[in-house]
Amino acid sequence: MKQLPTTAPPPRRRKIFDASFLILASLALVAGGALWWRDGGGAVWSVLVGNLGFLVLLLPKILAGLFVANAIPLLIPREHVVAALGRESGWRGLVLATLAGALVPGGGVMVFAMATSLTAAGAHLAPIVAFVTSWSLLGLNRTIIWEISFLSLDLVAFRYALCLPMPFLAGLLVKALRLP
Amino acid sequence: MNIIIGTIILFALALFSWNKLAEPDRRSEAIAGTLATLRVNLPRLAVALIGAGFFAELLPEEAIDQYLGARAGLRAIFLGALLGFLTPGGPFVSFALAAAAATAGASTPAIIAYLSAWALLGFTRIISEELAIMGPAFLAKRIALTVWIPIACGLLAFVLLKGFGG
Repeated sequence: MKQLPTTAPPPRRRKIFDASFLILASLALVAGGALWWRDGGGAVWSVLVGNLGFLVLLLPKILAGLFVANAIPLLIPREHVVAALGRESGWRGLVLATLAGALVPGGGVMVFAMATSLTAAGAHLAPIVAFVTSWSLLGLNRTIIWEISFLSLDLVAFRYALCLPMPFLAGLLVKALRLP
Repeated sequence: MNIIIGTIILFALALFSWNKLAEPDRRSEAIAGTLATLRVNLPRLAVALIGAGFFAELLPEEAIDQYLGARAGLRAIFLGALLGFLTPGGPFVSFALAAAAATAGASTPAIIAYLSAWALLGFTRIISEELAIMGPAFLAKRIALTVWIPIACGLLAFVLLKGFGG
């Protein structure tokens, strides 16, 4: 495991204040302004303090979670995942694809790049669809670090359990329809 | 309690991966990646949490209850899925809105349909990433193969909660 080449993406310096930040910030500002107008400064203040306090509580969890997310690509090189998924086409392939989609940390650009190399490696459509579906619905990185920060654990666990079979079913659907 | 359990689990995993990384080079690479992600995401998280707090106060509870609440029944599931598809932006936007809607009385099946629809079919990601990288043929197939999932998850949640009186 020592000298494996890793394919962690080159440290792309993502901008902090990009379009998606501006969307978030303007939504928050408009909502804050509206609340101030309707209920006064006290209401705005209590939301601010409450949520910043909550953020402080979340911080250790987020730090640990981000470390794990950044360590996984170093420990399991992406080309190993692609190679394993490319070889398997049956049930095992669907299970593996679902597992990989849940475990692979990172955003859409990285995941779709992996899906592209799967296609190039001659993988069947079924595990590719299962992989993309699993990353969308079950990506642990997003769920454990972020989703649980906003929503109650009960709700998130319930959603996760309901979504759990879906990537596998989507893959089976590809097979049932005999899509190329 | 949720936070404490989550923190403990993640610290255990972090220690495990720290140990597995073994060499100082790889460890510092992981740390650098962690700090870079944190730098970008922490301001977003703070703004999104606060914005969700404002929205939760502002959302008209009557309207939420009427259209997305338990009273709206199955309609709420379809509306939730539609809203998930239409929500722009990354996970912070959708999670913040879902949290605000949950506080204002949206039903669990509606929220589950919303979150699944956004995750699978959120239009920002589809257009800016999937269409650009995978192309229209794959995208069309992928959408056709998965578009039923948010509704199925919402309906399953509805049936299970009804059955067990949750």
